[in-house]
Amino acid sequence: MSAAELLRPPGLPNSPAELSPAFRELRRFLTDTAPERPSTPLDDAELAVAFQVLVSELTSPERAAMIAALSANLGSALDDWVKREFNEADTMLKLACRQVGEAARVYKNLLNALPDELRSLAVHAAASNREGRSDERVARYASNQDLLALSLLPIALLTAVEAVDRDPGNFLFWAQKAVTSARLVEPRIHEILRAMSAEVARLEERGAWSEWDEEELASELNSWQKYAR
Amino acid sequence: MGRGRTRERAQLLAKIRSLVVDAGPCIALASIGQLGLLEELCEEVIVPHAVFQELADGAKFDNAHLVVQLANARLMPPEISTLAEWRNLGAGELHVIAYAEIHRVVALLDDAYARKAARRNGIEVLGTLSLLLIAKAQGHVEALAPLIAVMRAGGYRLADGLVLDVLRAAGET
Repeated sequence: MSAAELLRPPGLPNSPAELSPAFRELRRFLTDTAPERPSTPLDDAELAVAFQVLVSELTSPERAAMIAALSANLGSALDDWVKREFNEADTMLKLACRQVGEAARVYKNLLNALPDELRSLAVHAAASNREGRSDERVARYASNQDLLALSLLPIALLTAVEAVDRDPGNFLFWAQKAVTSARLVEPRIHEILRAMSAEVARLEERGAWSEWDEEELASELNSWQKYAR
Repeated sequence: MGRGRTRERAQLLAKIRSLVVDAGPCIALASIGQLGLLEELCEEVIVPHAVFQELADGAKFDNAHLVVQLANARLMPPEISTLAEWRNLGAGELHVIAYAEIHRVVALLDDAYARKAARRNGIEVLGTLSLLLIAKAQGHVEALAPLIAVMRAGGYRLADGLVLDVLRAAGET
C-alpha cells in the first residue's frame, strides 16, 4: 500500500481541487521533504507545521469519513506488513517491517481514539494554514514533546511506507523513526488528545472574529457602554 | 496625578456583578497579559469546570488557566448535562450559556455561534473586545491599539474593519 493510498483511501475524491487545503499542504510537505531523508532530519519548525496541518486535517468535519477510511486502510495495511515481514529474508528489513507494523497499529488506535467532538470541531483549515510559521507557535509546539511525537508519527510512517520498495536505507531510517514516535505516543494517547483539544480551542479563538457578521459586531459595540458610565 | 484621578473614577464605576467566562476570551486576555482585567472589572468571575479543563489542558501553551487564581474567581463543578441538543457548541460554551441562563449573569463569549445561542436565550453577552472597551473607559488600560496589535501578531484574525470600529469606539481614531 502506497503512502498516497494511505492518505487518500480508495473511493474518496481524487481530484486535488476536492481535497482540503490542509490535506494538500500535508501532501506537499511530505513530497518536498521526504526524499531528502535521512540526510536532513526534520527540525522542530517543520514538525510544528506538520502538527498544525494534522490538527486542522483531523478536526475538519469533512474529514470524518477520511479518518474512518484511513483507519480501515491501516487495518488492512497491518495484514500486509505481517506478510511482508514473514517473506522478507534480510534481517534488518524484517525488523523494519515489524517496526512499521507497530507504528501503523498505534496510529490506527490514535485515530480511533479521537473523540467525536474533536473530529467535528469546525476548524477552518485554510485559515489555519494562513497563520503560517509564526515563531511563537513554533516555540509552543517545539516545547511540547507529545505534539512533536504526534507530528512525527504519521510523517515517519507514511515516508517509510513510500520508501519500502524504492530505497532500503531510507526505509530503515523512517521505520525506526516511526516506531520510536509510536512508542512515545502510545502510552500518552489521552494526554495527546487533551493537548490537541487545547490547541484546537486556541485555533478556534484566534479565528473567532472571522465568523462574526454585522449583528455580532453591532452587539459587541453596544454591549459595553452601560459599564463605561 | 491624572492617572490617580482615573483610578479614583474607576473605583466609582459599577463593576460587572457576575461574569461567567468561556475559555476563548481567557486565552485571548492571557495572550496580551490582561487576564487581571477580569478582577478589575467584575465583582465575581465564574469559571465552569469544563472551561477550566480546556484551559488547564493547554497550560503548556499559555497562562490562561491562572484565571482561577484571581481573587474574585470561582470554579464551578460540573452540574449541567442536559443540553445535548446544541450540537455545535463545545462543552465549555454549553456550560457558560447554561450557567448564565440559570443564574441570570453576563456571559463572556467570542464564538459567534455561542453568542447567538446565548442571546436567543435572553443572556447578556460581552466579548473580549467589549471587555477591553470597558477597561479603557474605566481607566484600567491606557490604549487598545497596542493590545490589539499584540493579538494580531499572535495570530488572532481581526479584520481591519473590525479593528477600526473598535478603535473608533475607544476614541483612538
